[in-house]
Amino acid sequence: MKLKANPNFLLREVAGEAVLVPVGEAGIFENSMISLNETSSFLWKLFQEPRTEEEVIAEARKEYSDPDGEMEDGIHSFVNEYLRVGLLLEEREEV
Amino acid sequence: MEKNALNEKMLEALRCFQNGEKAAWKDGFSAEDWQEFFRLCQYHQILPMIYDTVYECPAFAAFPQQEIQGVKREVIRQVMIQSRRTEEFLMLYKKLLEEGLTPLVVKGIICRNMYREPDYRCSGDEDVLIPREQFGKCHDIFLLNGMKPPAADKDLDAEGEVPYYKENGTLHIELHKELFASDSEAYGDLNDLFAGVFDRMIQEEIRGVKIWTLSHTDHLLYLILHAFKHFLHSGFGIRQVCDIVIYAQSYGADIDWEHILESCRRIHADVFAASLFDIGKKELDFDPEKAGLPKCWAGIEADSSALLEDLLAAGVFGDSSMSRKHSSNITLQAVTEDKKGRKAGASLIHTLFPDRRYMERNYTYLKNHPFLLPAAWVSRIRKYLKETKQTNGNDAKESIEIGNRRVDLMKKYKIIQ
Repeated sequence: MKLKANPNFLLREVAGEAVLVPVGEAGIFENSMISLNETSSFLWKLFQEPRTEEEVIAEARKEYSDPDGEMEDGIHSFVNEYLRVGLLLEEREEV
Repeated sequence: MEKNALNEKMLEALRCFQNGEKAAWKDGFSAEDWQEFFRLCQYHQILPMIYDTVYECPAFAAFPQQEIQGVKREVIRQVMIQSRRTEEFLMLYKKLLEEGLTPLVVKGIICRNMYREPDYRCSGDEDVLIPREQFGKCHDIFLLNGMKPPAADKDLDAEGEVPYYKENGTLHIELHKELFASDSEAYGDLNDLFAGVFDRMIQEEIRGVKIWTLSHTDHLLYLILHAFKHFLHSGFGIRQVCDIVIYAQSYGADIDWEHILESCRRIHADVFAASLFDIGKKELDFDPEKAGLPKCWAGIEADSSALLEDLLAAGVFGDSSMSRKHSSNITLQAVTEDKKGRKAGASLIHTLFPDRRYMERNYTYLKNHPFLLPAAWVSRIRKYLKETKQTNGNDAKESIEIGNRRVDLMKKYKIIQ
């Protein structure tokens, strides 16, 4: 299943911080500021194009080392959380 | 740090931002200096640009963490709001295009698009010029999409510009049927210089949306004269100069520079315009050759130092203090008198008792009941006295001093005799 970043949120890097700016239909985040750390920001940028979790893990392995073997679990948690709150959306493939 | 030194630092930081550089200041700032510095930047609506440039320099260590967090939050807030406004505007604009309308966007998003971080160049609203015959349809589309004009009692068909605000949103649009208020004796005639703009309009693509806007020559002329209009009122800030020189440098090859000069000459704004470019050259790395400024411009004697001093004190729209804002009564009157061939001079009488046409703007009942002018004067003086009690930097004597100084400035730049 491919996932994509919700287009109602724009990533802006301001004053040394990466923040998601809600625009359009932002639901519960209407008046919020979501601050991303470096890893989340990296993952968010990857999901600007529809990608599966596996594809994102593969890209992350090119960028970051994983000495403790926690990368896959970390990305899985990110995906689950962001799907839960609607920041990531399932990309429905046309049949 | 002295105010002049802080102004110089602000200009240096602005140059750095434009060039994609970071400030490398090692020291020289106290905590109070940083506070005052950011306050200045806020007056000129350039806080995000400047913060981005300075927050990593060694001298920033003198600013306490708590203060830093406050400024940083404000910077992030401003950029976020600007990002939202831009997206909301583009979504609404697409709907206007779908209905076959040709709204020309001026300043705002067009200028913002030239900056290396567009959302760091914040503006409170978007200005849109619509052909008069399209106003009704545009108004209906705005209403359908949650935009509302604030005042229900105004005759929108008669108004030269109508503000719209998004319900539960951040977007503010000024919908213009004319670029300058035609009922202004001081500058209403500037509209003559823009006859036929819809015949010359062009499109620019911004974030995938094709936006109608003024031709490059018309737009640069408009930016200059918009600053000129604010100068006649109570001033304008460094951000406007930035917009003008960046625009000139970006599109110089497409600009009819002789036409711009001739248009400025017609309204005695040529020395003013040349001074703006002089400020750009001295303070903002503007390259006249790169912009294609022809020799006719170089021949104009432009001592921009007094203008620079005025705009640094003015803030973005000349509203750095209430006294300054109220001084516009004197400066506008001076221009109006000059146009009638009369000598311009400061007048307390006129400051306290402006003519009916001036008063009608804020006291609209005068249009139908002109005999109520004395009552409107009393109401205005009461409001002025209330404002004087509540805020610093606001008294009639200071207004007149500022007005006098600015009338002299207008004479120096040959705007009036």
